[in-house]
Parts: sequence; structure tokens; C-alpha cells
Amino acid sequence: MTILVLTLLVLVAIVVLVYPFWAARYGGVLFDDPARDLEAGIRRARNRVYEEIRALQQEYFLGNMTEAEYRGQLQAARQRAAELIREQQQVNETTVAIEDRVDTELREILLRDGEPEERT
Amino acid sequence: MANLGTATILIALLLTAYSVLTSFVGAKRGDAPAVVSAQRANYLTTLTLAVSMGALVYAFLENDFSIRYVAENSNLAMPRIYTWVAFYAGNAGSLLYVAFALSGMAAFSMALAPQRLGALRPYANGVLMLILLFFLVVLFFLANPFATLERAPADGQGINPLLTHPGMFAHPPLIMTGLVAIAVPFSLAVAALLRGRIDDDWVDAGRVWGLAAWVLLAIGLLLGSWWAYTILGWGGYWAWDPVENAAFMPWLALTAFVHSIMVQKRRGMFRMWNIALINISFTLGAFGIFINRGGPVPSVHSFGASTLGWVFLTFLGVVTVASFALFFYRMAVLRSPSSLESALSREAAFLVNNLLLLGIAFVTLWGVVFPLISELATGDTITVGEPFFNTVNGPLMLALILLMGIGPLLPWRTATWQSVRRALFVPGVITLVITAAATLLFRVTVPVVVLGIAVSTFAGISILQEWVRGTLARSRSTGALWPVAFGRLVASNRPRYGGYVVHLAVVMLAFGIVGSSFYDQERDVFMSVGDQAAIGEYTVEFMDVSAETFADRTERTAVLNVTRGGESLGTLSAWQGVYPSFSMISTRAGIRSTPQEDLYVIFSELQPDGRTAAFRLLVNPMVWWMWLAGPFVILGTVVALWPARQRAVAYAIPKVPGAAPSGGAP
Repeated sequence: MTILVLTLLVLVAIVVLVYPFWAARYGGVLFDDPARDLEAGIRRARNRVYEEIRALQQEYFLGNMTEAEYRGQLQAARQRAAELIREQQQVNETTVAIEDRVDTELREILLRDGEPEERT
Repeated sequence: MANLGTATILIALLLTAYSVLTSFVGAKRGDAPAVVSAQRANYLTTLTLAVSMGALVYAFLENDFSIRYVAENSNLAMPRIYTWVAFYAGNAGSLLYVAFALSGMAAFSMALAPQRLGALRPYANGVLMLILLFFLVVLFFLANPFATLERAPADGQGINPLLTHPGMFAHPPLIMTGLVAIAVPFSLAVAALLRGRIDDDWVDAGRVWGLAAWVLLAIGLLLGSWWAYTILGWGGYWAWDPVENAAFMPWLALTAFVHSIMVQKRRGMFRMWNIALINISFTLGAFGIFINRGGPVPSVHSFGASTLGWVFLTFLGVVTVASFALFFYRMAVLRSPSSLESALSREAAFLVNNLLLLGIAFVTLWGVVFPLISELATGDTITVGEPFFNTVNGPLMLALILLMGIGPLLPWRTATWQSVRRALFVPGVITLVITAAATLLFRVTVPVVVLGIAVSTFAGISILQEWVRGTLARSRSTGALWPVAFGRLVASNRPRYGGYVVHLAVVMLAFGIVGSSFYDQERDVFMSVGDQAAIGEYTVEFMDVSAETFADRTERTAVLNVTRGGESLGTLSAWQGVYPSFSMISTRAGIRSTPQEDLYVIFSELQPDGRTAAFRLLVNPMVWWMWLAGPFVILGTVVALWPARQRAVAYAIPKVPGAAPSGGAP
């Protein structure tokens, strides 16, 4: 009984551990993606500002803030949200511009070498 | 069973070593299959250790006394229901349980880890598996619960009588699980440090697992207090025992962490502080395991101690040095993008709360290590008693409860004195009225008690004010009925309102501690059958005593009739068990518990005539509220952890022609 259980356990372990090295869907390399991280960072910051606005509304609603405090902090939060959206926009524009540039340069190289254009 | 158990521990050890190696190598090289394989090794370790656990339970059920651990911790007379308790009654079994609990949490945390953790996950998996590897190495080489005896005895030594109590089914596993659960948020923080990119990716998962560890320790501590109250026969529930303190200190640091992490979540602040806090929590957890399993100081929990103190001390040293070395190495990238804007803000209140909690933790730590230091320095062990802890920690705790009432009323970022005055006015006035009334009504003369009533009332009223105002405002604006409006209010910010439920539980605990510490009454009496004794407003009459003999013990039960002002309140049974093999008399107090007070009777001793007995009678005010706090702690944590519905927030991001859409709903 003991030998049967242990044999089964070892066999299952070997199969389960080795399988990812053989299966195509687990293939590939994990790299940090700075562009994605930057975008995620901005998105997180924006979420935080929106959460902050919700919290502000709640505090005001509960009577823990005066109207002047509420208005002042709400305005500041809205400005931060606007700045983050602007930042996001710049990242998007830069990403698109870089991708366009890569496409253009690739097209030029392919035309110069007389290769047919890649169909997308 | 012995072979199966030992072999599965070895397999688990090999799987864990493999997982450590492939996690770090995979993370460093960006090798996806290695990372996936490492994670699977993590899951397989849990499965393998479950088989190992099953083998030991089976050995207990089969009374397989050829296994030394089974022979040392059970016998034929042990009721089968205590098999689970016997499992972790000794050092080796409890280490197997710790390894299984850690492995299970490592598997769960990695399986449930959000995708956005990305490259952090293999590092976190590697750290968790490295910690598990330590426990498995100790288990396999130094404390194997499946070690066998050359000749199996006909019967075992039996389970320690102090452990045959309902509280023991949950108290030790909860404490042990809570202590090792800190490894999960710790691994996430260390993973961020190892990766060298300290953003806020780990915050959500860190908060969830931090809270999970916190609630496990909180309930474990409460159950431990209940166990001490009912079985140790001294009428108290907390003695600042080193092992109690060993679980209390990481709980305090975790309490600071679960508050402070909210500031990072909301404001992106306290990055450095949060990593330091989780390092401190885990270090204190490792210290707790050293005190608990290593047995360096005398304790009521000495039955769990071993000779492995040096092993756990080494682990503690390595953990402390490595985690803080990494912290200082990455300090430059740990700075938060934003800083404290005002001393009058919720962030500042959280910071003061953290400092108070850490202050209590370090006072407690000093009290625990002082006997060790004194022994090393002078050769004499100088123990630190309750008065030290109560005198130093008492005021800090009162300040903490006061802050618990003020903090939630402060807004984030900044507030004005005007708004603070307005928010504090109603709770302040109600507190004054209630405190004055209580002081006059109950003739309270001790200033500390007046202060205790005042700050606890203030904290409670602040919470109730938040609920009432929020519910009324929501009901007015939506036309919803009050219960519906209250439900929606709680759902609108679960971490906040779940936290308030837990704060309410702390207020209950505070009332219980103040009431029972300053207004308890105690009386030792000898009574023969038919005699009466009075304590407080109660009269207790000794009705009868019965005895029943078992193979390992003699059980005696004294029946007492209780009356108050001539009105019968029924009978109480106080129990004692005489265990000759342990040279021990174990007691179970007879307790009549009401919200106002407990009548508590301990059957201390039976005279040779069999008709006369010694009893200790106590009246402990408000202890009932302390036990009620437990369900509130669980309820509040569940509310705080309940996942929020994804809000459909449409971000107004202008699209760049031809660009892929980005920045969807969170």
C-alpha cells in the first residue's frame, strides 16, 4: 500500500513538473515590459484619484468636512486626474508614434531589398 | 504508516527545494516554463504533506504506539475526539502541522494571485518555498513525527490533560496558522525588493493576506484566553505569559500593517514603512515560533517546547538580517511619491496608531526577552510580571482606543480645526454624559477606570455616529428604508465599515478588560455538602460531589446551587480530573455568564472525607463582552475582505487615431 501510494505520488509529480517544459503553451520568455508598467502605473494612480474623490464625497456626505474643505480638495483631485489623463495620452501618442515609425522603417527596408510587403 | 509519513516528508522536501531553485532561476532568466513548473511543485508539496498528515492521524486512530510521537501523546483511554489535538500536542506533530499550513497558504496565495503581480509571482513563490524548506528540513532531520520505537509499548503516555478542552481544537492551529500566514505578505514584499521595482503591485494581495493572518491570530488569541479562563483555574484570561506574548506581538505589528497598507492603497504613501512593518511582523512571528517551539523561557505552554531552540534562533537571526539587509539595500527606490500634507489628517492618525502599536509590541518584547538577558548577564533569571506590562502598556492602549475614536472622523490629506471640532462634538458630549452617569451609578472611584470608560465610550459612539449619519443621509437621498440604506452604506466602502465592526469589538474587549481587572471579587472557601458561601450578591450552596474512575484519570464533579437575593439561578457544575501519570489535577471552572458579570467557581481540592471541598469563588464583571468580541472580529474582517463589485468607470481618455484603446475600467 505504502509503495503504491508513493509510486503514484512520484509519477504524478514528475509528469506535472516536467509537462510545462514540453507543452507549447507554456513556452516563451517572461520579460519586464516598461511601457506596460508605465501605463499600469498611470492607471493605478488614476484609480487612486477616483477612489479619493469617492472618499471625499463620502466624508462630505457624513459631515466630516466643511463645504470649503470639500470644494478645495475636490478641485485639487480633479486637477490631478486631468494631469494623469494628459500623461496617459502622451504615453499613448508616443507608443503609436514609435509603432508607426517602426512600420515605416520596416517598409522602407523591405522596398529597398525588393521583398514583398508583409500582409497584416 | 511510519514509512509512508517519512517518505512523504522527504518528497515534500525535495519538491520544495526544486520549487525554490526553479522559481529564482526562472524569474532571473525570464523562463516561463520553469516558473510554471515551480508553482506546480508548490501545489504538489501541499498534496504530499496532506498525505503525511493523513498518515499521522491514521496512526493515532489505530493506536500505533510503534511510532514514538503517537506513544508520547496518546493512549488507549484517550477519547478519539482528541486525536486532532494530540496531533499537534508535541513538537514534531505541531511542526508537521505548521509545514502543512504554510504549504497550503503558499499554494492558495500563488493560485489566487492576481495576474498583475506578473514578474513578482515567481520571486514570492521562491521566498515562500524557502521558508517552507526550513521547516521541512527541521521536520525530516531533527523532529520527525514518524520516528519509531524499537519495541512498541502496550499503551501510550497519554495526552496532556490541559489540552483536553474544546478550545484546543482551534486555538493552537489558529495561532500556528496565523504566525506562518504572515509569510505570504512578507514574501510579496521581499519579492518586490528582490525584483528591485517597488511599486504598489503587491499592496492589494499583501493587504488581503495580512488581514487573513491578523484575523487568525486574533481569534486564536481570544480562544487561548477562553481556554486559560476555563481550565487554568485562576479566574483570569491573560497573564502576559511569554507564549501568549509571542503571538500577541506579531498581531500588534500586523494591526499596524493592515492600517498602514490602506494609506499606501489610497494615497501611495508609506511604501518604505509598510515594507518595514511586514518585515517586523514576520520577524516577530519567527520570534514567536522560537519562544513557542524552542522553549527558552518558562511558560504555561511548556508542553509544546523542545530542545530545538538553537535551530529556531538561527532561523530568526537569518530572517531578521536578510530581510532588513535587503530593505536597506533597496532603500533608495522605496521612497513614496507623495508625503504627509498635514498632521491633522487620517494618514497622520494612522501613523500615530502605528507608532502606538509598535510601542506596545516593543514593550512586550522587552518584557519577554528581559529574563533571557538577565540570565545571560547575571546568571539569575529575573522574570517580568503583570504589573510591568499593565503599567507600561495600559496607557498606550488607552491612547490607542482614543485614537480609534478620533481617526475615522478625520478626512484624508488635511482637515481644519473647525471641521474636527464639529465631528468630535457629538461623540464628546455623549461620552461625557455616559461616563458621568456610569461613574455615579457604579460608584467608580479609580481614575484609570473612569478614563477607560470614557475613551471606550468615545470610540464606540464615534463609530455609531458614523453609521447613523451615513444611514440617515443615504436614506434621505435615496428614499431607501434604514436597514437597506445601512446595507448600502457598508457596501459602499467595505474596508472602512468592516474596520468599524472590528473597532466595535475592540471597544467590547476594552470594557471587558476594565470591568474584570478592577472590579473582580474573589473568595476561597471550604464547604461540606449542604454548606453555603456568599460572594457579591450571590449565595452558593454545595449540593453534592460525584466521582467516576477511568483508566487514566478520576473525574470529580461538584454540584452547587446558586441564588441571588433569594431567587434561584439554577445549578453550576465545577469539575476536576486527577491524572496520576501526569501528577496533575486539571480543573474546569463552573461559570454562570451574563453580560453584567460572571459567577466563576473552581473546584480546587476534595478532602479525604469525600464530603468537604475547597472552592475558589469569583465574580468577574463584563467578561461576557470579551467573548462576544470574537464573532464581531470575524464579521468585520469578512466585510473588509469581501471583494468589491467592479465599478464601471468610463475614463475620458481621448483616443489617438489608430491607437489601440487603453486604460479600461479597473
